[in-house]
Amino acid sequence: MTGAMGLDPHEAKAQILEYCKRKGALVAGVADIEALQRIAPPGHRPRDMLPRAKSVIALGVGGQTRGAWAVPAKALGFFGSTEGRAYKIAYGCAFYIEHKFQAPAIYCPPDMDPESGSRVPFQSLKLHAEVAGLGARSLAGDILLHPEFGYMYFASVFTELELPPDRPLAENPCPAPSCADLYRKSGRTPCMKFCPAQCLHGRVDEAGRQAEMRYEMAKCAELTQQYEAVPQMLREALDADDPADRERALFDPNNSQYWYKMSVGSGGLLAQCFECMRVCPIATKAPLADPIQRAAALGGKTGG
Amino acid sequence: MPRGLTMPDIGVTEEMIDAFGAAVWELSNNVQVRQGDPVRQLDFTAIEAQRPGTGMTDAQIADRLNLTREQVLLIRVLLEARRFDRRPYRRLYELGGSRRFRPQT
Repeated sequence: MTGAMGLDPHEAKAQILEYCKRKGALVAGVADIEALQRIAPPGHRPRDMLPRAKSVIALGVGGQTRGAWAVPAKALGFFGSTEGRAYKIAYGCAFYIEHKFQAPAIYCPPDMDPESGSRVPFQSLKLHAEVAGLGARSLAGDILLHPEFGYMYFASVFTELELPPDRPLAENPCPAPSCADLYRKSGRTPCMKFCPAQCLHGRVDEAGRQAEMRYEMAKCAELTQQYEAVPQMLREALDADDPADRERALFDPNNSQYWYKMSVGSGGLLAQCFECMRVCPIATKAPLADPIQRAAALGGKTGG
Repeated sequence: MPRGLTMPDIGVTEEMIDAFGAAVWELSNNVQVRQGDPVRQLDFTAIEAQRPGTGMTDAQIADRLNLTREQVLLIRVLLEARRFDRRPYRRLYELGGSRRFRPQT
């Protein structure tokens, strides 16, 4: 099979995925765009972003180092996320595709749709990655988990180049056997039990598979997004009749942290929480979950 | 406000927020409920059947509740701000290392 420019789509796909991995992606794949067009709701489908898109490339990068799991939560919130690396690779990949194959391509913005407030993204990068076979939905609020790489951050590229799609994972690694055991004993998996927002609930069936996942995103957002925190503080300050109350609303030690984070443009703006992943055996102990394990698997050739 | 419109322009009142707020909240992505693993299995029938639980767009919610998309958008975003509680974030100060969350802490 050959496409435009006499290009073999399989060869083009191999070169694009190789580019992503060479730049630091642990995994990369092509999602079936027709499946995405059916699953994503109107307004959030790939062709709502790039009308002539024929392929969606998803890629994933590893999370933080193993050492990071041992630090206090208040510190991990500033550096735990590694999604910037994924975005950088995807951005470069779009340029690579246009340069190498002369086919229009875009870096898919991971941002919120400005017509929908602060909690509805343009596109679901999670959906792209899942359909491309890069991870499966977990009981931890549908965070994708991979049986070998554990917990990753994802980015997507859309292109008018037609590439053969991959399939979703054949099996879901969540819940791990130890999590299913804890559920049988206590009715909760570790992620449900130790979530500081208590936003996770669910059921595991007798075979140890996910039966139901319930995630209260709004509760999770109180620890992980905080987009409403600053306007809330400003409203309290504006509503205050007493100057002392106004000062407290703006400069109380708990509130002044937001000014710091905004001033420095913290990568974890305004908050991040990793407690469900900290206790997840797949995120922390998958065979290639961190640079130490990956280096060991490759005979010490890489720590990335 | 959506596209510069005010609450009166699009017909949203506090009474409307009281009446429809709970339904809008449950149908939005603020609460997500999934049975089985339908996306991974590309089970399109199950995906469609589960949309009210997995989170609908404002337009889809509007169709279901006989509201306009702008009304749902405004109700949802106002509720996201009003229900947002800054206090739980402080729980993170006690966690990490070997310390895990306990409901009584």
